[in-house]
Amino acid sequence: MDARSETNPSSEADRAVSDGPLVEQALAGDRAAFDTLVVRYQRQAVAVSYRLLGNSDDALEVTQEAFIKAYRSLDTLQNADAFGGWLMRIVSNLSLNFRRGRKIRVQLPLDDMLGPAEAGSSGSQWMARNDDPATSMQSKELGAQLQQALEQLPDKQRLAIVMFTIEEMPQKKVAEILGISVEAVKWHVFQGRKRLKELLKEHL
Amino acid sequence: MISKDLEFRISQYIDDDLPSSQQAELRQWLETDSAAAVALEQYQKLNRLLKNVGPVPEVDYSALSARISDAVSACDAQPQILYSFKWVKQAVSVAVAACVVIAAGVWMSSSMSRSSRTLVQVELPRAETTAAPAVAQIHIGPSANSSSFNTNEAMVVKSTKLVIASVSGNGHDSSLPY
Repeated sequence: MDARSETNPSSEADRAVSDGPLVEQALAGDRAAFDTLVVRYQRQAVAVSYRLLGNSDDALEVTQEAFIKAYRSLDTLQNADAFGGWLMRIVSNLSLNFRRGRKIRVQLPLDDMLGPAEAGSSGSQWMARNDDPATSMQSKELGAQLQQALEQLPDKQRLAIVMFTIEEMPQKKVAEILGISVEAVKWHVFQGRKRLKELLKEHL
Repeated sequence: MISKDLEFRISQYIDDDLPSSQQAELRQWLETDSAAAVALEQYQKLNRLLKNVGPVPEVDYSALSARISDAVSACDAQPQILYSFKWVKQAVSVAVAACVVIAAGVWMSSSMSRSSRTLVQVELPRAETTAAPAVAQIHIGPSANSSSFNTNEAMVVKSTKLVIASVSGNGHDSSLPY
């Protein structure tokens, strides 16, 4: 099943209303408004969390936790239109904390949400989608090394690389999420790349 | 070995983020600096690697949003309770702060009054006395008979009488030359 076609967060209908009014409505008790925000941002939240954690189960847990946290502290959001960036900051912070502690192992089994290829599996599946066994093995190995290398980067560099280079978010949005300037984002991306180039030099 | 500044420009170049004037300059540089050209190639390869890490695993987003919705509904029932807890927490915080302030005040005042009541015994040197009869009495200050000299004893406190007493022996210090 192509989940993208069902609840694409960027669909025209969803985007008809901007975040600000939805946040206001949610604060006024309109749960459907918050559900719209969930649909709009869940994909991005899962993607960022997955890139940071390298594990789909963990990414789903963190995403769920992030939305609950966002809902509970919605009244502290100063600029309602900045909901997306604010949520991604929650997602990235929770993901980093999760990586450090691996402690949020609670709640319900999430296997039923994964597609058939992912259900029951965990760990990095990056670049492991090639049918040729030799290439697949090589890709798996390289994917694992890339993930290990990413894990060695300082938080800001890793987040900048994940959001800007991998998820291709605009620099301005990354800056907003990380609470830094656009120039600082460029610098973190560069520093991250420089470190990755050293760590993966035998593959480059 | 290439400079950090040049590497940073290469990084911006592969993101298509370098101003066009600097792009031309960089291209010229790359033609002559082989180390810089190698670095560009490595950064481009790394970028391709990062951009092809593979898609995020397929997720049933309908199920995920439904689950999140349920979880939010579950905590939706709690806001009133959380609200009252918030008040209780605030009240407890204020009470604790007040107790700390009061306790500190009581402790400070008790320690101050304790310190003011502390008795200190000071031994002063005793006045030298002699049982010997006076050999001379010198009065200092205005004559007892003089009424024209006005002095304020309250302001100038000094002994008005010096008594020279006799001592046993000759009292002469033989070490002195006179």
